[in-house]
Amino acid sequence: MILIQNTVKRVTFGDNSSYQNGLLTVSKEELSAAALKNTDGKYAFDIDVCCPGEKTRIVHITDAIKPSYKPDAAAFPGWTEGENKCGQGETVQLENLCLLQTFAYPGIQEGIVDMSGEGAKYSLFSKKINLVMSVKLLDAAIEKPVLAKDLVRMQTQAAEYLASIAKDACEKKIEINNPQPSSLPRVGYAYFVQAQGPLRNVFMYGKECVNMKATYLSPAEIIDGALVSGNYIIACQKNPTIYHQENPVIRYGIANSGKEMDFVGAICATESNLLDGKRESAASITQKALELHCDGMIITQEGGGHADVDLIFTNDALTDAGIRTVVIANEIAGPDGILPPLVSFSSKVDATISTGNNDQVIELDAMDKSIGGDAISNGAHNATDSFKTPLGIMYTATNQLGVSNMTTKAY
Amino acid sequence: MLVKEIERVGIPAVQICTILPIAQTVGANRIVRAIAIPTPVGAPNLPAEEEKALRESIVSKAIRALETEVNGQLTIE
Amino acid sequence: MAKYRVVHYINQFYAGIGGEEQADTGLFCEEGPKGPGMAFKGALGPDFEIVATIYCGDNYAVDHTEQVMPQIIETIRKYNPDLVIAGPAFNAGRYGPMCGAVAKAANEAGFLSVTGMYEENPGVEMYSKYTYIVKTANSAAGMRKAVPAMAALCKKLVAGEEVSPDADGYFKRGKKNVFVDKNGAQRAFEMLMAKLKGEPVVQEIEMPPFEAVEPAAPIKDMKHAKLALVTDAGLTDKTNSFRLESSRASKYVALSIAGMDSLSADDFSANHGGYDNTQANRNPNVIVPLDVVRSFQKAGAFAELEDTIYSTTGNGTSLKNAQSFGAEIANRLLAAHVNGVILTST
Repeated sequence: MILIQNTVKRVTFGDNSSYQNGLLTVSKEELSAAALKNTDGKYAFDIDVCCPGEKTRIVHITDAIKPSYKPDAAAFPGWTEGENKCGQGETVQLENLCLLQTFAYPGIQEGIVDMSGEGAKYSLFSKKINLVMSVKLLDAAIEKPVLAKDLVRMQTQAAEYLASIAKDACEKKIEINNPQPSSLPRVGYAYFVQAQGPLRNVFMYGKECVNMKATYLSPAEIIDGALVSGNYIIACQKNPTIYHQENPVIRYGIANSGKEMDFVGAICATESNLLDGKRESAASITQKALELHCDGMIITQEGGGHADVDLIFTNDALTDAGIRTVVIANEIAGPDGILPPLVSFSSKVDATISTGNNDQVIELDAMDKSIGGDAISNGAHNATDSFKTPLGIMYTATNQLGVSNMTTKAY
Repeated sequence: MLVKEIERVGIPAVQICTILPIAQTVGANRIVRAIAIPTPVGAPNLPAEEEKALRESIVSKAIRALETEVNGQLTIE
Repeated sequence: MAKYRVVHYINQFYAGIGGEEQADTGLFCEEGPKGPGMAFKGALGPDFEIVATIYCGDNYAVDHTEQVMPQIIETIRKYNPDLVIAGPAFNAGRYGPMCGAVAKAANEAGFLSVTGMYEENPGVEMYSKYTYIVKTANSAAGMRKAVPAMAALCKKLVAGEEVSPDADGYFKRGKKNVFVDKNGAQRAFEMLMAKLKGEPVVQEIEMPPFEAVEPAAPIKDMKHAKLALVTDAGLTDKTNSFRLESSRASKYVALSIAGMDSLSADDFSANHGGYDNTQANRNPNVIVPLDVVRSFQKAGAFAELEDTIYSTTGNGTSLKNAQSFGAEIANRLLAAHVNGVILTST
């Protein structure tokens, strides 16, 4: 697969969309029209752009996505039009630009990005240009499952449209090769997603991952839009679509494959609602890891609480099968970081990476402007206020794929 | 955590939950296995009669757990 | 250069007044070092000066804490030190917590503080969060090692150098988020490669055990017992008039079920961010089995059902909040003469 990367340096709005030398001009009408396809006109948008360093707070974030376009196929198979040629051929992606969607609705939890000040430290989005589509619902009677799918449809269609503006540019070309076996140790990836129904879903090729059996995905497929997020629960510990597209385990794996190890790709599994389902996921991941002749596996989760059990069951099953493991997790360890950080553990867990403690309290600075709403979801603060909050409401702050450089340290 | 605080004052308390390892790690004294996370004492895909019977069997186990002398941890699956 | 000023807190024994028979000695302050302060003077070196030593009898300190503590802080303020040292207290069960309390109070008043204790001293659990407690042996025989270790930490602290529990030998105060030079995924690969080579790895997540609670005695006579229902499934009234949060709950709610034979979807709903609430909203008895419990009661399996269901949301809710809700609910259940509790969890 060939990845064409065009780096956006500035975004303006205009009557016609165009892209030239890093300047992306977006027609709001065309972007809205692209996003609204197949949604029965039940929505409208406010469209804004914000840049690093601005005193801007984005609230009620539902998803972040990397604009992506395939000349001869669907950029997000199952969501956008065209064939599924995921992981093959050419894909145009926009770098340094992220499409954020915001929406306030019961059941969707608060997610905040600050573009400057203390809060900006806890998000990689504060370092990118963000184009924000704030969704307004025009039909209050809509059924939740329909709404949940429409949110994902609008987000993927808009992302495909944005990258299509730059489809003729080719600033950087990278070839993504799926792994070739050699005699090095083989490393695989147990990639859990949290899919439990409307508004808490992850989709593989457009199908919800609820009750999904463990499934192999190649690195190229993951980078190329195979997984799309519709998961709008705890803000700091979920994986938006962009972090599937830019999954740091996949990225590091392919960049370093053939050096010290061969990276074989991901076994994607869902975090079941049932105890037996969790045992089955662990067992079938292990089965697949053995089929792939893995010597080592990295395990990541999405969400906390019950998801900790998936981590532990999988770690233990892999360990029992003779496969070495490393677990990446975030901590829910109280404001001082001294309470037990996970709700499940085992003596077989001996290699863990922490992506930070959700419960640590930070003080956000006052902002000049907010995007996505005038108040934060619990109504306790105006969106531009300075206030203290546990890290939990900061969008992807303790992301469990290991995107950020944050960890915890004893003091 | 709630059951532990209730047991701490001397009232036996049984936790009905699906994901047993969590209650076991957290340190509940009396645990009964539930059906599923969104419906710990329900199975909406079953006919009403069967669902009720399943719910009754879980509540019976819970009552049995409250009547049982516990040393360490009691888990009824 | 001006010397760093130190105030030292010790008990009557180390002040040379006497042992247990002198434990009722009151609170005193003398200028200059005293007892172990002489050893600290040597270990801290010429840049430090112990300007005053405060001492108090162990029993007196315990019996008069409320008067003694403000006096100690006032005295410390008067000397305006750069640092407060307490103890070391080794395994002394009254002296340790007092050293911890002094160090904590000094800290809160804006002074750096250091103390030293043996790991089993109750003062460690009570105060390690608030101050630097250097690990010591369990008796005064360990003084020769404890003083240099505490002094070394003191020197680093006044110089504003970075310290850590492992490098500086004190009990961990907590964990905080920090940024390092590699992302989590890269660190995971490097850890895995080390593991595959059989090299030792340092875990980033430590898992202290959860505290155990003594099991309550079982119900002997169920037929005459009163039971209650409790849940963390986010059960609330139909309109959630209590504003129970769907995650990170700050409260629990008390829902009346007096006279009800089951939970009607017209009266109750679920508001929990951790699972799909659709089925619970259709039939709340799938999260709290009131229908079956009531029929068991009517059939005589047990005598009485408490009229209130206590409910909270167990989703991202802090352990601390969960403990305090649990304790309050427990007290209300005790007051209602409840003999046993059935709790449902999602």
